[in-house]
This record gives sequence, structure tokens and C-alpha cells, in this order.
Amino acid sequence: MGNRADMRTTAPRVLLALVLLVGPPLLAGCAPGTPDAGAWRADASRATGDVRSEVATVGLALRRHDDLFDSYLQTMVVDAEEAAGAAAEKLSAVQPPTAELERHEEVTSTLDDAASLLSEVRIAVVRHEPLTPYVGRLTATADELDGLEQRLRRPAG
Amino acid sequence: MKKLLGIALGVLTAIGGFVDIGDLVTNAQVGARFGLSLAWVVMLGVLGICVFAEMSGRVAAVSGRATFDLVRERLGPRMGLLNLVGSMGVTLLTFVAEIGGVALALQLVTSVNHVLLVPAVALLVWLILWRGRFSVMEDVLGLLGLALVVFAVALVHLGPDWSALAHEWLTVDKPGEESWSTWAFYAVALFGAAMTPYEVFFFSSGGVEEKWTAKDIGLMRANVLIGFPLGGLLSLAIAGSASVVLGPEGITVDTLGQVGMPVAEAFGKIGLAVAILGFVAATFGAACETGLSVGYSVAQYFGWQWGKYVRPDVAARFHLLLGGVTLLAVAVLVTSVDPIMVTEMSVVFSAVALPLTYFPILVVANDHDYMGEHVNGRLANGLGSFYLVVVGVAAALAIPLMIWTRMGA
Repeated sequence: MGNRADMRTTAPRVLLALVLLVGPPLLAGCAPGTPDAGAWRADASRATGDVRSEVATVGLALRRHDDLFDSYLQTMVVDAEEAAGAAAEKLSAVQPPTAELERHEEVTSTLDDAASLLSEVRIAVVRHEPLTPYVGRLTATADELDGLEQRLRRPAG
Repeated sequence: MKKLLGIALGVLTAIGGFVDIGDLVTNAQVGARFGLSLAWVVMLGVLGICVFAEMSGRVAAVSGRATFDLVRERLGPRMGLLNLVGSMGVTLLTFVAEIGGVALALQLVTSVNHVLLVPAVALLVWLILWRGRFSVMEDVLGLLGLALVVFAVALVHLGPDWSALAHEWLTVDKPGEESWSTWAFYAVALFGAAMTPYEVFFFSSGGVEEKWTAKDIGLMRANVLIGFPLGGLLSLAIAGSASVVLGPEGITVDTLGQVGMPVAEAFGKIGLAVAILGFVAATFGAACETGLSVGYSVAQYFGWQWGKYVRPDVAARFHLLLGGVTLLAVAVLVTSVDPIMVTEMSVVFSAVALPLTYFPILVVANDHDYMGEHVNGRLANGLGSFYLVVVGVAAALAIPLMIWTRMGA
């Protein structure tokens, strides 16, 4: 145990050290962190792949909708819509690096479009509307997402 | 004739009861992404569970006492507590996943959100744990679980390129776009799903519930050595059918609905109805088994009266615990946590807990005082020692791989 005088001189130093150590990370935590281009590409590629999988799932379910119970089809479409929306939202919350700003716009817009398409399909499924017209759009969207995912594996430019 | 029927019933229920939510989800995920390149892991895991289930069943038949009862007595309270905490934690997580799995399966036929179904499912599970007869629970749910054979029939019906599947299987041919670290993560998860600890607790405690004696060792071995490998074939059929139908579409499995799609493609609504019946039976049966296993492990460690062969008021603490863990499972699931994510976590942490579960069983099965002439032979010890090394490697790799691959993303 040290005496009170020692504590008076030591305490401000410890406080200063704590501020220097903990301050910068806390301040950095107030602003969104910017991942480097490689990390952003990995996140974007993963989100694109996830949404592509959901679109492909709904595409397969619609092609086989005569083989599925209504409740089964509805559950699959709702699950896919929720998962795609969550993946798109998660990526949109990531701060894009300057080098990838342009592609960030493209990716978020494509993912939002895909999520909107899944919402349209869900409405059609619940309302028992004809589903055949959506099959082609889902296939095209899945192909588009597949191409985008491939491109995201390479740096911009 | 009666004995033969008994063996057949035991084998059939062992097959039907082998697959649970972890096997359903993990095998479909792996099949869709990696084809059959990880089929060897299922085979390795099935042989491993056979080795330790036979050992723990033999211990129960010879000593009339279950695993945790002997682990604490033979290895002391500290080792017993470590064994209890590791194994029970994973079993509790698996219990939550199984109840969520039943709710997800029922959602597919009702389109009611699974969160709303969870309390009703949990109540039914608890009622069966409290009032249901052990043999009825095991036999009925095990036999209904055989509905999952529809995956094997669907795989044949889909007419896959068998030589391509065999090539993936034999050459461990990972798809080019997947990384080896992700491949290794799923290998560990599959291994954890196949060797999940509750299976041996339930098996050995069930032996005590059914009053096995040394005379029942033959029947017990038939259940394990025929039933479990055939159950493992169901796991491979789920992976194979996912590989054929979901793989080419680039679908990664994250819902139970996706798992059933290959059957719908093969047999339409009738096949799908059978698959859903299999989902419900497999997950409901596993929910009962994991719930009981949590109760068994805690009660055996603390020396409480336990089991369904005694009246609930005689084993009051055991039944209170079952009620408590059921409420806990409901509390976790109504937070809207994704049961599939809970399942993924449970199979990974199952791999982590494997050494804590299987090392004590090997020690007890080697104790002449308990086992007499039925003590482990060279083959059992050789296989047991080999598997301790394998489970040690899987346990050491599980968490680093989970972090490194972001849960296999």
C-alpha cells in the first residue's frame, strides 16, 4: 500500500495513461470504421452470394410450386425475403473505402432490387397470383448477382 | 421370434432416432456446398459414436449405472464437474435447437411463425418428459423418424451422376471456389453433429431405464452396430440429395425448407409430406432425448433420484429440472434467435466438448471393478484411443476455425 502523497502524484499519471490508451479507440468508435478495400470486397462478395442464394432458392421453389404446399412455399419465400433484406442492410451499414465507392453504389442498388423482387414474389404468393412471370426475373437476377459476385473478387478498376 | 422382433425394433428405432436437427442442417449445408467431399467425416463420426455408444451401453448393462454416475465416482468430483459442465452445456444448446427445429418444421405446414409455435411445442415436449412412457417415446418417435428414408429414395429417384458423386467421395474433391479453411470448418461441424455427446448419455441412461443386464449386451450391440451406421446413411442421403438439387443452383442452406426441396423435386407433395413428418419426428424425438439427457447428467452427478422408471414425485428434483430447462429453452427461442444458428453453434461446441465426454467413458470402461469380464478389449481400447486423438484435434480446431471462417461464411 502506498502513502497518500504518492497516490496524489501517481493518480493523475494513471488517469493520463488511461485517457491516452482508451481515448483514441473510444473516439474512433464514435465514427463508422472504414474497412480497407479487400475487407469491403470480402463483405460485399459474401452479401451478394447470400442474396444470390436466396433468389435462387425462391426461383427453384417457384419452378416446383406445384410440388409444394402453399404454407411451405410461403414460408420459404418469407424466409428468403428476410434473409436477403438482412444481408443487404448489413452491407449498406459498412462504410465503403474511397476506391470502392462506385461499386458500393452498384452493389447496394442491386441487392436492394433483388430484395424488392423477393417482396413482390411474397405478395404474389400470399395473394395466390400467377407465379410463372417471376421465374424468368428471378433467374436473371440470380445471374446478375452471380456476375457481380465474381467481379467483386477482383479489385476495382 | 420375439427376440428377433426386439432386435428389429431396436435397430429400426436406432436408425430413425439417429438424425436430429444438427444432422439435417449440417448435412444439407455440406452437401449443397461441398458435394460428397466430406462424406468421409460422416463415416468417421458414425464409427466413433458406435465405439463410444457401445462402451457406455456396456457399462450401463454390466454395472446397472449410467455414465455420469460412474464418472464422478471413478474420476472424482472435479473431473466429473468438468465433464458435466462441458457436456451438459452443449446438450442444453442442442435441446434449444431441437425445440426450435420442431417449431420450424411445423411452420412449414402451418405458415405460423415458429416463435409463436415454440411455447406449444415446449409444452408438449415437457408433457411427454413428465408423463410419457420411456419405451413408447423412444419406439414411436424412432419409428416415425424412419420417414427420413425418403431422402435416400429421393436421391436414387433423382438419378444423379453416381460416378461423379463417387469421385467426390473418394478423392475428397472440394469445389474450387471454396477455401480449405471453410472446408475444414464444416468437417469439424459434421464430426460434432455425428458424435454429439447427448447420444451416449441418452443411450446409457436409457439402458438403465430399460433395466439392461449383461444378457442384453448382444441386443445393445445390434442396435449400435447396425442401427447407427444405417442412420449415418440417412445423413449421407440428405447430403447427397442436397448436392444434386441445391448444389447446381448455388444455394447455401440456411432454412429447413431448403433441406426438403430435393424430396419435393423427386416426389412432389406426397414425398414432401413424408419428409416433413420425418423432420417433426426426428427433431421432436431428439428434443425429448436431449431434455432427458440434461436431467440425467445433472441428477446423476449430484446423486439425485432420476429417470422415467420412477414416479415423478419420487424424482421431484429431476422433473423440476426438466421443467426448468424447458422454460429456459422457450425463453431463448422467443427472443427470435434463429434456431438454425443455434443448431450451427451447437454442432461446433459439440466438437469442443467431445474430449470431456469421451475420455471418462474410456476410463470407466477399462475399470475391472465395474466391468469384470466385460472390460474393454484391445479393439475397443485401440479404437477408443484413436478417437480420443481425433476428438482432441477437432476440439482444438473448432473455435479457431469458427472465428477464422466467420462460421463457415
